[in-house]
Amino acid sequence: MGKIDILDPLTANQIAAGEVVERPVSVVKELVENSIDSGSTRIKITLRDGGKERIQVSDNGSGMSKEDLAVAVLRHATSKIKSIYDLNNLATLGFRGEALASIGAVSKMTIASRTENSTVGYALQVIGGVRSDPEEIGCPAGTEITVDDLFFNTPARKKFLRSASTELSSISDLIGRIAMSRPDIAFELLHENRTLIKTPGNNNLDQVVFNIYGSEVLKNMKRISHKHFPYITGLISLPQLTRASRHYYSFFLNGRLIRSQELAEAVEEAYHTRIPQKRYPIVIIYLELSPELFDVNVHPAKLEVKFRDIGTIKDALIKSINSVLNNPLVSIPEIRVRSRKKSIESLQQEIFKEKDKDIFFEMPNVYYINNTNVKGQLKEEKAHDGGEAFQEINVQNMSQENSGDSSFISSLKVLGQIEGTYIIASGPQGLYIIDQHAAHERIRYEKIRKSFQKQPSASSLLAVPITIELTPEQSIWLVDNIIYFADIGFVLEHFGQNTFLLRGVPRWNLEGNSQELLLDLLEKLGSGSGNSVMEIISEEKLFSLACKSAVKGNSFLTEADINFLLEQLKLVKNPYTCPHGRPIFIILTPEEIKRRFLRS
Amino acid sequence: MHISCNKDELVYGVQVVSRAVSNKNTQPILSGILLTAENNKLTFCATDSEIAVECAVDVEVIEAGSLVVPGRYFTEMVKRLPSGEINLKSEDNLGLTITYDQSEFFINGFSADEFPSLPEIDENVQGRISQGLLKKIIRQTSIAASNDESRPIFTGTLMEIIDDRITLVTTDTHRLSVRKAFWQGNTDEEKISVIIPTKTMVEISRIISDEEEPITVIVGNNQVCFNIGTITFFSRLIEGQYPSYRHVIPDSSRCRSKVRIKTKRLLEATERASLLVRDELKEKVSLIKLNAQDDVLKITSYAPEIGKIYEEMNIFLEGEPMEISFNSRYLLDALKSVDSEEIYMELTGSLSPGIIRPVENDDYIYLILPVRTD
Repeated sequence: MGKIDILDPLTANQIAAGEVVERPVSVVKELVENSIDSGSTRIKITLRDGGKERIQVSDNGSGMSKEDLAVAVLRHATSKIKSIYDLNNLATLGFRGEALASIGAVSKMTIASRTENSTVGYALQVIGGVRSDPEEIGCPAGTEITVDDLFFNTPARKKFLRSASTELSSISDLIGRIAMSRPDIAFELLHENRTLIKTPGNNNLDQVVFNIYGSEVLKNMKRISHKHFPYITGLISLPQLTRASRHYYSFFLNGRLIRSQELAEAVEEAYHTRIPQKRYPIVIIYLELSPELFDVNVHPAKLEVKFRDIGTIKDALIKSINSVLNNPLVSIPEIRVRSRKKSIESLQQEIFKEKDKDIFFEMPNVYYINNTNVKGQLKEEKAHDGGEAFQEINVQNMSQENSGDSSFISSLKVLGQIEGTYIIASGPQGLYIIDQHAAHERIRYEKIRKSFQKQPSASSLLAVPITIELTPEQSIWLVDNIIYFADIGFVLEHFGQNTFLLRGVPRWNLEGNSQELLLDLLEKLGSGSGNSVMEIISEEKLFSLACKSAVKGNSFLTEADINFLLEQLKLVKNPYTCPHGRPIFIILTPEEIKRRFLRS
Repeated sequence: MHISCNKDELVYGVQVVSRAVSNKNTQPILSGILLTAENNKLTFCATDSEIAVECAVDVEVIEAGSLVVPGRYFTEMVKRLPSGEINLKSEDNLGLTITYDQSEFFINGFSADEFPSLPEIDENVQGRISQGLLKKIIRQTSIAASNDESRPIFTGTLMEIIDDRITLVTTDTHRLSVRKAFWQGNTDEEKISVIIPTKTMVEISRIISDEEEPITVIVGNNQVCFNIGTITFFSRLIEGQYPSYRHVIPDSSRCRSKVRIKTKRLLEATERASLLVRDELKEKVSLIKLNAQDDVLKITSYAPEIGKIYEEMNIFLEGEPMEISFNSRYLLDALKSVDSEEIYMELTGSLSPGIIRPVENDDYIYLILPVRTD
């Protein structure tokens, strides 16, 4: 007898299940994507024990007929593509037809479904890949899939599940992002009878963001849009709102949540020097591309996407972010009073009042049952607390009129200086407070940058070469970029394997430690920020040069000094933040002053 | 302990050892000065565990004993005492009473037992050299040592002893200074080489005089010790292998251009050219280009945002015309320390090290690495 057997279908399904179904969160993802694909407008996810004990996804979508239900749980059963040719024109989220079969193979799954036209629904059970026949039941239109005891028949896999709270947090993160991808669908996530996420599904992205990230975040988010190819819309955070990691980047391609190193790089390039180093913005970016311009079938998890023309997309993204951030009223943080304690509803109202008019997606609004109640309450609230909402609107409107230039600086009238550190001026938006060091630093930075890039780079040769041992990875980066290193003044010689001799160091770094500089540069190259050696080096060097040479705090300036400083500030590309990303201006608006004096 | 002495003796002793008083607070005892009175001598001793200095002065000892006093307070107080006779008295380890005129000053102290004992040197070689000469050769070499603590070897001065020759070598890898001198030493070993912290060398050069009087140098395995009569100076050595400096110095047979230059003239020109520093980029060193041709040396320096300089001087050129660029500071250091009216500059190519040495002899070689511009 031969050694090679064909696996029986059950085993084959269990193995394949590994690819799609790794953790409870992957089950949730597959099921929710199916619900979305079936045209649902309401999707409810109920979990028990972080999804380890039970995951239930119910929707009001098209549902399945008895016949469909019977074949749905078979491998490669899909309603989404008929042949390989359809793959290129895919507009649905799932397509491989593996999900239900894979989940059924490793859990106790119950599917109940009814189409709108049918008077009765049907239910079937799949336990460890063994399928029962569909039975007639009564149920609402749509589909409800219950997955109990995940991995009950694969103990090894079950053992590797993480804690319920870890699983829960990945699921709620996922649902948050899916909800952002489809503001037109009402999502509800419940864990042990507690509501974690609830979005209205009224096609208002702001309300979704409010529900997921809260009001403080939403207040500091701005719309971006790129109105011709490639179509980009989204929300980005203002420079004063940052996070410590890239976790808050959400990219959606045709409604599909994707992960993209390239898009993340573009975002960081746009925010570069506007926010402090090692801080990251919150971005929610929607891309609309026709399906032949990208490829998603990279991995069954379907997160990574290959773009045909990433350059154009990156440029467009950077441009649209910049056009928002270059707006003076966006980039200058405003002083606010901490708002008096309000109910969530009134906050919500306050925030949406101004933005409600814009319809973010050109999809029909979906009626959401809970909304009526909220709105009713709100009207009352508003009557009591109307003033603030209107001020918000004013600011917003002005910011739209006054788009991106530094001409407001010309209209500033200098009133004086306090603490030898801050310049006080009156201007179109109220009282401007200017950090003189930050302002000067920005001016110096842009000037030095120009002069540095012009200079020829001389190498100071070494009597005793420095031997540098690199990791194989680093030496690849070094060899790839060796010309650029030579350009900035490193004289390097390959000394076999991953060892290099440093025979000459950049003359401009004579005082510094060039070996460390080289290693730092390699580190930065390797981290894939996408910047060239020249860019990295000028940043590194220029930040500190600009900072050291700029006028310090606590030095008293004459009126002429201040005017000259502002004059120069007018000429720089980004007059809003210093090279480290700290603000140069803050504004105290007349409204704010009024409020402080309790004049209403 | 009880002694009677003159103010000047106290001041002298305190000033000699104060440079070894530690100003770090990790070991409080090291911020003190150990005073020991016996045999009509008062010995001062201080150490920061890098160096240790001991100095003895003649006093009248009424009662022998020892005590550690806080270095900074004691030093400042002693300097401010009136001239004349001073009495130092300590009944126990608690403190020291300084009596002057009709007044007295009391300062808390530590027990002498807590003070670390000075290193014992396992002597490898001992020799003598004149103080004035040692001072000069330290000055000529210390300039080229590195301040970069990340590569400790280069912050040191290599001391090499072969027969009756002592050689000091320093390099920060941009330039290299080699100074040879005769000394009277005794060693069984063929060659001794140790690395002494350049900071130590500079401290010693400050203590010693410009006179001919000899200083004794004792080299051990982990320490080096310098002795001039009443003062003993210990220092730890830097561990490691000094790079083989001889390979760096181009062989004189390969020299293609040998330029004889008046030191003062070139020094002044270089000083003027050093002013053209690109301030904007916070460079501290200007780039200076030398062009030797037909017995004329042209010196140019150019900084786009500031200006440029052009100078010419007569020289005596043997060999080919040559053009080479240096960092002005390295050239200045060489010209200031060479101590000779005229120098030879020996060049083997515009990308090879240039050598500067006095015309009279080969005792001093200062090598500068050029700057590659393109």
